[in-house]
Amino acid sequence: MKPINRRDFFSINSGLGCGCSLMSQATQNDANRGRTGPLGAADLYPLGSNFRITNVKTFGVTLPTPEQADRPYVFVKIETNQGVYGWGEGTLEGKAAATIHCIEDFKEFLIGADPMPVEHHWQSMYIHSFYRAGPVIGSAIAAIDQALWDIRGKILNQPVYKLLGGPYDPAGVRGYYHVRASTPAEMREVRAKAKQLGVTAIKGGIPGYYEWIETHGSIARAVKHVETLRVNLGEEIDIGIDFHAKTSPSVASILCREMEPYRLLFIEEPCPPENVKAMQRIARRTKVPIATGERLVASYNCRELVELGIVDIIQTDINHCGGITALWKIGALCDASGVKVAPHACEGPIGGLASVHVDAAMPNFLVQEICSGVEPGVKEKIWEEWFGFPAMRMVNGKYPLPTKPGLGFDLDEKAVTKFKFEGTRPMARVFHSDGSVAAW
Amino acid sequence: MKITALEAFDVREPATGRTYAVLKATTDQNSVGWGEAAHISRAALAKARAVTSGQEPSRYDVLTRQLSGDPVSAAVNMALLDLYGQEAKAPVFQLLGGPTRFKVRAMTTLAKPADRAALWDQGHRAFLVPVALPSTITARPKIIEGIASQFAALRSASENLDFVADGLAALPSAEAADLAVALEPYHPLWFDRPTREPNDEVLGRIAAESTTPLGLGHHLAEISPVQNYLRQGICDILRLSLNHLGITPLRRAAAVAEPYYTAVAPHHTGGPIATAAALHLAASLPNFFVQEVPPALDRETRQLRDDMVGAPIEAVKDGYFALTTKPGLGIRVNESLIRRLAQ
Repeated sequence: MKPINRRDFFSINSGLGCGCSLMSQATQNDANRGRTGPLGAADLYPLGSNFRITNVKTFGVTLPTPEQADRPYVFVKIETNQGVYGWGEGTLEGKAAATIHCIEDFKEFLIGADPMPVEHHWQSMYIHSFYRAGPVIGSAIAAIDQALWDIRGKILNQPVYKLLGGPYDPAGVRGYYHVRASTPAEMREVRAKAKQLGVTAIKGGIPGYYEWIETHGSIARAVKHVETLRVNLGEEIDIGIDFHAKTSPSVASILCREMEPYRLLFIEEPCPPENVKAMQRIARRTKVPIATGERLVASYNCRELVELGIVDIIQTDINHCGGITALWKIGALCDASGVKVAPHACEGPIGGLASVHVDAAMPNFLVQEICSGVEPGVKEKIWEEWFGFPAMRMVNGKYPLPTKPGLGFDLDEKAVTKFKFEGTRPMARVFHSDGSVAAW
Repeated sequence: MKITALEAFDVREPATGRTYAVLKATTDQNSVGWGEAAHISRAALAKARAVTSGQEPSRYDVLTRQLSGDPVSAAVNMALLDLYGQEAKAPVFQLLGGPTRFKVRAMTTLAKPADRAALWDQGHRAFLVPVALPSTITARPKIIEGIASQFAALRSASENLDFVADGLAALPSAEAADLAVALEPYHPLWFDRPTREPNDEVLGRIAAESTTPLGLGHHLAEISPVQNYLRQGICDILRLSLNHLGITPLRRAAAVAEPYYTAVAPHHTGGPIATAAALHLAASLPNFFVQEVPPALDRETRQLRDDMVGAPIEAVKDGYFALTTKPGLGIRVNESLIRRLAQ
């Protein structure tokens, strides 16, 4: 597979010869009708392109970095009969092999089909999976959806954020880094570095694990941690605090109330996602904006949170919720109710780069995550080698918008396969002091 | 490609008297995009010029939103997508996520029972039928029976004929609720705007008393109230108006409706440019059901509408419109004809 460059696109375009529409030429392709391709694909051939999906390649990628050991990346590369290909990501922490197999299952839906009808493919993968989508199916669809948008952007010679009607902010997409500091001195270093980089938001967590009801000591320690963060990061930066769904509604309600003086940007996942009414109970007891959604799939999973006005911010992850198609729709659902979107991203760089396109096209976008610190580490250096630019590193506090078509990058398969798949790694397994199971 | 000029035309169809506004957008590369709205005021046009001047058509969502609340936003949205599609050499539905279907179900208004044969011969299989209370004093059971009997006759005319009862947002709530129940045996596609919409509780009672699906939203100037209709379970099909809102806001509303398993059937009583826009929207939506088009009973009007857009895009075959793969909205607007109709 030769790498794609712009000249190839023009040759593909000019190869259509009519000097008119790339698409109208495809109507001459009726010979394909009913002959090849997956079920349902032939009906759409007359409306589509001459491109056909020829292969769906999956990649498990384990980086030699300690902090990434629990999340080998899951990438997909979809190839077409005309040399154009697309990349997508479906990294699902702790379930890499399951997601790779699920993507493989969808090959039958895709090979031989036109890559252009991405909405149609999304609907087919979601609805024809019968069980609708949980995180494994959602992440598999996400990977394929991103790759299809990458391809269709390249075919149309447009960056994806333009196809979506953006950008709202031509200067880029606001982001935040993570603060991993535990001492005031370290926090002040983060503050100085953030100021130097123009970073306007930082996210931290709360220490330890939490039982159903908590002791004075545990509650006081959590509140003190957030107070220390605010004091040392300063007043000029937005701070989000991630409870990581390790608190019960009872404990979270107390913590949210007592953290109100620190004027947080949001408190994230104050309880697990399965019980919307439990989340509502917390949200009603505090004035801190509540954010949640990284574990939710498709707009279906976000509906109740939005319609009942429970949360202020939805944080679905482009790698799990169903890709660009799903994240854009979740944005539209939220926008109609005045809810903001701050997409989660804690996996590889492809999902992050894809998310930036949707962010740029959402009027209700708040801020984009990436699980990186203010200083780039080992994984960020590998990402830079892969893409030839510092992927998911902000410039003046924002992710710059790409100008190239599709997702706006090229990625050499060999650069990725240099890192072998070392198998699924379970997420962290932690226990309380009495040996019972704890959430982190 | 940057917008350099907007021009608006108040069009009147001679035979039907139907009026709507057509918008022409020109770029620095001399490409032209077309849109349509229910009407465009002078003030709205001035604002639209200020918002779009020097802007790239690809920022269609950003620019449309800045005009939200006024019908001019619908025309601007269509014209921007028309231009962007020409720039990308792709039909608008491909910009939006590709086709979800290869043909589009059609529906038109059946104002008088006598028109049915002519519309059927044009290929129409689904009809929007206005219902009205009798103007003279009549016993209440007779009112409902009288209206229901019209639909019983339609149902018995053909198994392949479908209809929507259009309450025109004018029936009192009690009569609307009774009619919704009385229509159940005839399987109307839905009951359109059964009563005035400001009171959700009244609509909720109609929805509770009957299984006839309800169509709402024609009058909305922006899409947010859709969330309330869906949350309260009072709406079975969204009838947002294409020439009040445009393609993108309807697409956003459809995204709100999807997790409620609810479809969109855009309301459309305007001209053929909006029909072109509607077909691209329909092609792109997973939760689309049917596209309304105003009836063109006389030959002159049919020809006029075809001539305005340079192709018989409103032709219906066995109940469905065909889709075009030409770039942008896929139409060739006859500007001199538009100018003549605007005089």
